[in-house]
Amino acid sequence: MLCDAPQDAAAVLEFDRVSKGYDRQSLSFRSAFHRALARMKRRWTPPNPQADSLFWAVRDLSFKVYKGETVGIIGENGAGKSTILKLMAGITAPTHGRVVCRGRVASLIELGAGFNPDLTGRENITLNGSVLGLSQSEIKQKFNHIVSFSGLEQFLDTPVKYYSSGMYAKLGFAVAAYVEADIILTDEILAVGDVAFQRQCHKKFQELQSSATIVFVSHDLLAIRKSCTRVLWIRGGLIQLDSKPDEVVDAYLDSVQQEREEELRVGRPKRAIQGAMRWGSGEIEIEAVTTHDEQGRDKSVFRTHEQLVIRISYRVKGKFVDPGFCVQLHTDQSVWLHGTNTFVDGVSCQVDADAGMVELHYPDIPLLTGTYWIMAGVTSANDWDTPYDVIMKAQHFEVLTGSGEGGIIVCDHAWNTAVSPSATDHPSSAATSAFIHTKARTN
Amino acid sequence: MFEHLRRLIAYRGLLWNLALAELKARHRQTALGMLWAIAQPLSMMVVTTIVFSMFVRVSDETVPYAIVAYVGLWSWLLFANSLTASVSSIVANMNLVTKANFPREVIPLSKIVVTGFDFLVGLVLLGLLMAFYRVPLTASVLIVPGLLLIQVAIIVGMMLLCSALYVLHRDLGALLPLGLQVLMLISPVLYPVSLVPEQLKSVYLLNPMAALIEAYRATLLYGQFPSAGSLAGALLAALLLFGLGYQYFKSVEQRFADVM
Repeated sequence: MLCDAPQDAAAVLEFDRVSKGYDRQSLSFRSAFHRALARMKRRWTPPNPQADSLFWAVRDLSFKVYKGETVGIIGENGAGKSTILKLMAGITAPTHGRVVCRGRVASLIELGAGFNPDLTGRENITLNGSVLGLSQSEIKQKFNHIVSFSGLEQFLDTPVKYYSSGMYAKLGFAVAAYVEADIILTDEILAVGDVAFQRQCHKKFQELQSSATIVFVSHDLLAIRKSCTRVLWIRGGLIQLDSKPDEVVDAYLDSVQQEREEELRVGRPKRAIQGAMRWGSGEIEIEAVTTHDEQGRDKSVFRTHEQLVIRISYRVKGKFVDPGFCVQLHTDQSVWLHGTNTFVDGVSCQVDADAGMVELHYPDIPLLTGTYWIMAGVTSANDWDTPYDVIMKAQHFEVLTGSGEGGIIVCDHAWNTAVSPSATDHPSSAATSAFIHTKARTN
Repeated sequence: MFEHLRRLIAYRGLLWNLALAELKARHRQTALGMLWAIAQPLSMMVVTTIVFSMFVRVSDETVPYAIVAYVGLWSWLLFANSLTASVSSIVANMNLVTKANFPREVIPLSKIVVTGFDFLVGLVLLGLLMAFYRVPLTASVLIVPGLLLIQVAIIVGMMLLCSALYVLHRDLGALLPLGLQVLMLISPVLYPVSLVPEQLKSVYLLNPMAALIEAYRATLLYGQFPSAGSLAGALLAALLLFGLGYQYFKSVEQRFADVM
């Protein structure tokens, strides 16, 4: 890593056509011998990049990070995010290209890196501080702040091997929080410990944002949306998108949705399942249950609040009277979420003599992230004890949620954060101006 | 080189804290604690004294064998223990190497602070032994700090070389103890140089550790100044090893995080 005099004054981190290859070869003498042979051969043959045994974690990457930015890096596992962070930190050197940083870099890639379990909290603060590049006098000067931030005054003289994992992380974060650096590199460590400490971490992070440039790698898309000023989406060692947080996170989610769709398409049953999950007399048989979007295209991964269309294809095998269909939705843990049928909804079915299809439309799926199962059935005159055909787990689909809401379903909700004490006596006079309606931004 | 040294100096706090952490952790877990620093050379001295003055007679005219052996062991153990402790140190600290950025030589170098501590404790014991055996101190002891400096340079060079090589070639883990045993037998650790045949002596003293131990004995026990020739050889070896070790270490340092 080079630390140059400022030329482009605002850019504090610069990747200039950076590639990083990892050698996946073993170090045994046998392979060393083969490599030596290969090298000798190569002298007489032109170089062939395909034959290169390097694994390229980062390829020809160029970007700049400017002073004051908070840059989030997202991407799937193995996309090269951590390698980028390590290149920035100078822990590893680029194979090609140049990484330039201007200013003091603190790599908080792991909290409590180098903690010695046999030493006390007090001793580890000093040790960890010096690992992060603080001088002895800086550590001495910040010691009391670090201790009070961690809230571990009583345990300061206890060896850290007796600490709980929460205490360990608190101490690690406290030391990291007081490394006064120009550029801070972190890896999923923004919030640790209990709720109270997480709030403290969050506040400290906002403080750091105002004083330093921050680059952080995270899978927490909500944190990325909320904290970053810019997001890089890395895919296969390349920048897929570099833009505003909402734009990049949405694009990333779309791509995850699509890829999941591809994977599911291979594994999804096209035909109805046979066996114990199915029963009925068989006058009308369900051929297939499929899920679609509003245009009728195949779709198996949905976003919260999207439209879900369930299509049942059937075939007539015998005589029937007054036919009707039912659909039920279940969670992965077999919790029954919703069920309806054409009889209770008062819909009459025009069943053709040979084969046909019926569709059930859900205009707005109120479900959160998870896998959901569809049960489908067909019977006569709402008689579900002796149906024509019922299939328990006929099909499944997945839902992705971009918001931080938790649970199974989305409930319409609103916060009132300005309730005055007098208003609680008269609920009707609640200050409606302070209501924040949240339905719009859930996916 | 100077750039590297400047960065190393900026991280002297880390070097010191790593060494301190190891010393504290080491002594906290044991019943004898600090006493272990003197237990090793002392017990070896007792055993070798029994063996070499009762079973195999290694006669020396003026100075008792016990203290001759002690000086040999005392300086040898600084060398051998430093190398043994440092060879796997980078690999043992891989969570630090892959997670934080600092001059990597800090890790092996912190080991010589730890063994240096044992060495100083051993020095106190040496003083007591010399008083007990009434070995007179002469002006020649003023050379000792110079000898120590040469030895430290040799050790640092070897430490950097071995710890870096070990990351890339783990075979060294098996090779080093063997090499140290051979080197100990061909150095005057347990016997005086006077036992080495005269015609072999010039070759024998090419081993810088042999020259150094001989020089320690001459200055501390016999009140003599060591021969300039053997010292110059040791000094040359020290400069060469230090330069080579440091240069090699820095040239492969960037690959450590990738290999592990």
